[in-house]
Amino acid sequence: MTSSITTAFPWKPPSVGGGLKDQRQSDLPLPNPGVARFKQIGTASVGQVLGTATEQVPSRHLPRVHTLASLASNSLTISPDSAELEVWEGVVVSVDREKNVMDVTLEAKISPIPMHTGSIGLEWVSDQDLELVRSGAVFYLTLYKQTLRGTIKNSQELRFRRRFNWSKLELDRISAGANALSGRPKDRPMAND
Amino acid sequence: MPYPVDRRIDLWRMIDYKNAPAVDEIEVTLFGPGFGEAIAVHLGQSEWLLVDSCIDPSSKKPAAETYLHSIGVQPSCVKGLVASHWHDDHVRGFGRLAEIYPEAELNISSVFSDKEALVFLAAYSGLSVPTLTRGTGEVYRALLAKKEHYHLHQRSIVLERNDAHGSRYVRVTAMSPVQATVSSSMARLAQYIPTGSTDENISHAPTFSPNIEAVVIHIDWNGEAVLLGSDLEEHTKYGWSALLEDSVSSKRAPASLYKVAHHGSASGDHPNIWKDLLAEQSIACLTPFNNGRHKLPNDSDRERVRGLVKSAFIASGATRKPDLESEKLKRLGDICTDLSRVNAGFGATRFRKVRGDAEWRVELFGTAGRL
Repeated sequence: MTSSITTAFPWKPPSVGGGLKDQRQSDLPLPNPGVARFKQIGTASVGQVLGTATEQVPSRHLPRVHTLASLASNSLTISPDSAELEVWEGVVVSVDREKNVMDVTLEAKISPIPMHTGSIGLEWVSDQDLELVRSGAVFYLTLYKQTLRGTIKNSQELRFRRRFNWSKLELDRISAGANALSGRPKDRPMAND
Repeated sequence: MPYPVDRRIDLWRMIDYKNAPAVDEIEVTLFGPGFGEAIAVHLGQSEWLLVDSCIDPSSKKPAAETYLHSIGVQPSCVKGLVASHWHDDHVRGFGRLAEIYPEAELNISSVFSDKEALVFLAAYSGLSVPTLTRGTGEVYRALLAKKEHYHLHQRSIVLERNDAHGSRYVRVTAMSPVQATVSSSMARLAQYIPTGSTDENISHAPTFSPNIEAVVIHIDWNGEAVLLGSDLEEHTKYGWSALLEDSVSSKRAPASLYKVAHHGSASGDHPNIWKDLLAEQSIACLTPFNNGRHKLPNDSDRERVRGLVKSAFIASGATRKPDLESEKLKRLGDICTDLSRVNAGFGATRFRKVRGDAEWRVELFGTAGRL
């Protein structure tokens, strides 16, 4: 089932002109060296950052975790004293560009919290991630809590998972996968009464 | 009686479904965990048809599998599987059903009859990128499990059975998608089929709206009929209007039981469904859908459906209130509105009757209740 709000039929995808090509990992600024928790992710598993995910994926598919000024205006710089209160892996179910909101599912990665759904305003998405917001996109929402001299300081970060171009190996696998299904479909007889 | 909904442990307790139907008793059971839908149909003579799939939280297995096992149905008795479409909430665990029921014939929407559509399925099956899959991965897994499968479109006869005298006693017919949908859906799918262009960014399996690819199923036991509306939505050329205009589809025996399309939403409704396809004093059942701002059925949907049928039931009616500790709830609530739990309770509505009986016998399990 899907929402019938944004994907009117026939649907045309938004143009993604040059976005990822112009923002290869090597071109992105390095994180603040003082923020030891957030480091560039090479071939490490996602679990090293999020603490609970165990999936091993190629590094180019891993989320980038930065403390950049381009993050949503209502997110604060994450300090090294901040602790992760919770991390959610979210999936965008639908996007309403008119109302500037995305409907999402949220799966907690630290605590045994049941899956939830909700709506998140696109103002929480960093400018560089806005082009990634579409049905099926995956993001990570992290809530931080810092206690300093009796004062609690909350912060949060929402980053989308980036995927790059299909590799030849992936395309070959897809082709083989489709061929594995070829020659199997059959038609049913038709009812005329 | 429904289990209490505010005691978490009871929400996931295994349900006692009691006994299997009698050989000459027809049955339709609708499962709904709050996010998801599955239907088990006893066609008679101990033969079963399963439509779509969702997960039973108590067993962590497909709800239909858990149900059939609990009432003592042998795997060989499942003769047909239908994936009415490939959205995640309708096919969770479907791949497993194809694997564990060896005699079940697999049926999917004819929008996948084109080779390119199979490439689409393969691309988002998890083959190349493990997490790049949603319902497509389940459908792909099911297709891989079977040596052959069948495509369904309007007027396709899914299954027919004769009695001992050679007379037909049940016919299962697909009433959608309409033939014209295939080419239109291909245009939508084509945008997501990888071609190897260096400018092509990997995306995720999309979902399309309106849903014009879904397979609506009509089951006719010699005049005693049931209509399973899947998630078909209205569209003048491809949706309910097109279905209702078909001369054969519109002549199906009026259904006394209707699984309401698209979780009771207005977009899945058409006034002529109730007028042309359903019997007077029919019964309706549906499952909820919970996604952020979109909670189906809403109050208006409930009122509309209740006003059109003799009685209506919902497979899962538990509260959707958020379930997390207060600090996290407050923090998350600052960012995320309309926060609610996805699976807020699992339930099933079971309808049984012996042919010739005037009324369906209704049983409610888990968090199921009246709409």
